[in-house]
Amino acid sequence: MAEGPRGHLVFACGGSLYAVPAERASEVVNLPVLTRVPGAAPHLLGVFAHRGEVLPVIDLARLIGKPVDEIFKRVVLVRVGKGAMAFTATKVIGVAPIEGAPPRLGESGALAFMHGPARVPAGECAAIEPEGLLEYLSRGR
Amino acid sequence: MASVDGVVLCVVSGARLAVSADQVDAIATAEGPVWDAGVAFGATSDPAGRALQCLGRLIRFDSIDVVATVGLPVLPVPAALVNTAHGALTGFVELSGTLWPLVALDRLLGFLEARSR
Amino acid sequence: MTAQANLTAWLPGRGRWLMLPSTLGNSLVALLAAQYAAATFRFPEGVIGTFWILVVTVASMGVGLAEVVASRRLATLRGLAAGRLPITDSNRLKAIDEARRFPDQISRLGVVMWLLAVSFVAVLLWSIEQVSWSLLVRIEMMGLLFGPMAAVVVGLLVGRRAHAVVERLAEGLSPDAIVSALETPTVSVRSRLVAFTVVMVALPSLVAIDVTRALGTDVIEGWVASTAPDRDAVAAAAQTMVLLKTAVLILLTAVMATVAAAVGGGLLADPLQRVAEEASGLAQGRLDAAALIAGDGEVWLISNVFSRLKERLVGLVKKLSSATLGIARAAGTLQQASQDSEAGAAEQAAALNQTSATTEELAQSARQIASSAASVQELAQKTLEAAESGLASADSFRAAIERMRQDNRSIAAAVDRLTGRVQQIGRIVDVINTVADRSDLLALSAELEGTRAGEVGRGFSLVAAEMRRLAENVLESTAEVEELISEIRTATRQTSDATERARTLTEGSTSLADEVVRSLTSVAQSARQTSDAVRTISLATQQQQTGTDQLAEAMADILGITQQSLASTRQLTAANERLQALSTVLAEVVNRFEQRA
Repeated sequence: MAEGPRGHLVFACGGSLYAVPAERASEVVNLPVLTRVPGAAPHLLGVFAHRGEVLPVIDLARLIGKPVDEIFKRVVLVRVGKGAMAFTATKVIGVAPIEGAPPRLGESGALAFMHGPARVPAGECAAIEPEGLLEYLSRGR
Repeated sequence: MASVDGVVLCVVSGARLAVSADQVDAIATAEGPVWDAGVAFGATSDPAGRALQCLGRLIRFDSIDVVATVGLPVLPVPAALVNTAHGALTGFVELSGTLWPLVALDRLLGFLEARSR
Repeated sequence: MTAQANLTAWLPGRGRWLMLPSTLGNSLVALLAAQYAAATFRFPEGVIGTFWILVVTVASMGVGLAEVVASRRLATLRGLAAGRLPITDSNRLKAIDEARRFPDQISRLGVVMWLLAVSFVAVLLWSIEQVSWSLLVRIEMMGLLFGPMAAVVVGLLVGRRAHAVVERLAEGLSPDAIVSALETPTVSVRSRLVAFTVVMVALPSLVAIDVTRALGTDVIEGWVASTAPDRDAVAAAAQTMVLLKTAVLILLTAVMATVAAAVGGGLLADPLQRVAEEASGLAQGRLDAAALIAGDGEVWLISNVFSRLKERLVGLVKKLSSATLGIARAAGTLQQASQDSEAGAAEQAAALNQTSATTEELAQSARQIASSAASVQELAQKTLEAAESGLASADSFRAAIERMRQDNRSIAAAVDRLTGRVQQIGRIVDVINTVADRSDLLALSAELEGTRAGEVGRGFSLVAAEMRRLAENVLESTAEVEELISEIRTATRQTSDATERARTLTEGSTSLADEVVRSLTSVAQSARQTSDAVRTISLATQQQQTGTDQLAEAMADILGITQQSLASTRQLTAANERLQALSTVLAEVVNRFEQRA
């Protein structure tokens, strides 16, 4: 993959901005009715069926331990090799380029798969590494 | 694609669960020592609810329904949820536009046992 | 009646009692006459016995005859004394008249009887014994000498008793009435004294001369008849005899004259003495009932005048005394009355003072009431005006409320319409929103697709982004519209609530206004009535005030009059006190006369 600015879909979840690589973000949909999953972690809000596929909805704010009260309006669908998932969003900002590779936000847990702070026109955001995060989530607990 | 013939649809604390009919020994009243399926959702089932018997043990739900299906498609578990509930979640079935998580009762029992510990 | 009872007890036998001195006097004079006869008469032998028998016989007959005649003169007195006649004033007056005349009558009768008696004796003696003429003349002489003497003595003795009888019978009778009923006596004191002197001096002198002549003759004859040696003895015996006989005669005459003088003096002096005593008593203020004092001649006149004078004086003093008593009593009554009147006047003055003060208070109260009534009327007028203006205001208020209700209804209708429109707009906005949202998502997906297509999709991405911005603008606008709609909804809800409240309020206000109008109407009516009533009160109070002022003035006048009356009453009381003092003085003066009647 060639180095240089990469296009990211930037969205807000609570007061924080997140970004996923545009090529991984397959779709943005309104938050549908969710089906709860037995024994699921708190950040896993539930699942919904989309185009014949069951997609888990992950609350990023809960995932990093900073839950918000805002209503999620949209979900951003992300697809990687192993599967797909959806991230909650209070607002989808749009596609924006992110220069270089910002450092990881943490050494372990979910933050190990987030880079930042990354500069976008709307502010500073955390750039999510979807493959790694899915790997992390599928490990379960 | 896998499929299932006959499902038992269970509701506990507003959450839905589907079990393959062949895993259920019997549907019984929730008397005696039972495992509370509500624990899987961080809640408590109705003490007057029904129970599913599996491997000689009882798992209690608020309500239980049986749907006779033939070759009902089972949707796969998303990668992010493969290990959920000690791997009790085996897939999802869709009935009349509503998604039901399909669980394996023996693993669910293991999960509940572990949670209650 | 005590006097009459005394009289009744005293009267019996008084006729004889009155005549008794006549017998005594005549007997005494007859004794004297017998002595004279014994000394001077020369009776022939044997005749002297016959003479004395004749004398005694004729004297007895004369006494009986005199008694019969005298009884006729005292018919009324004897009738009263014997109880044959009732003791009446006229009988008493008749008896008094009889008693008063009786002494003179019996004197004259005595003279006549003496002359008749001696004449009768002389005639009888001459016819029996044929005595000499000289003896007969001598016998006749004896009657002429001793008859008047006996008459004087008897008159005096009977006169004394007659005075007593008259005074007794006159007791209790008015002297004035007696005097006016009786005739004034005609015989004066002077003629009585002359007669008395003549009888008591001249006649005894004649008797003495005659006796002396007779005795002298006896002595001379005896001396001539005697012899010389006996002549001295005869002379001495004759002298002794003459002396003895003369002395006896003189003594008898003197006794008789003295007694007669004493009795006659008493007859004159006693009434005068009585008059003097009575006058002295009067002088000392002793006022017993006036009694008749019997007397003769001028003494009778004097005593009568005095008795009548005394009677008049007693009557006068009695009247004066009773008048004084009356004055004292009247003055006392007047004093009491004036004291009562004074007390009453003082009381009345005090009461009037109080009444005057009360009236003044009343007048003041009336003035206060009048001023209060004026204030009340003013207030009532103001209230009426306020109520009327309030009524007008209430009408305006009601009209305003009515307009407000209509406005409110219009507003409510407008709000309803607005709500409907807003709902429509909301629905439209929802549609727009949905469309915009889907457009946004579509645009987003297109942008992602464009991005994934690399350089080829760049223009596509840009268009998609532009679409997204449009969609977002639309969403923002619709959000604003929604916000506006929300605000409109809130506002319309508030308006609706407000109009609802306004409706309730206006309905309440309408009924309130109605109530206010009713209240104000009744207030106005009450105020009008109050005003009328107060006007009446004010009028009445003004009249009352006028009346009270007049009353106060009248009370002041009355008070003045009462005070004047009080002063007059005090003056009257003082005058009364003076009058009482005067009446006391008068009573003292009157009381100086000791009244026994």
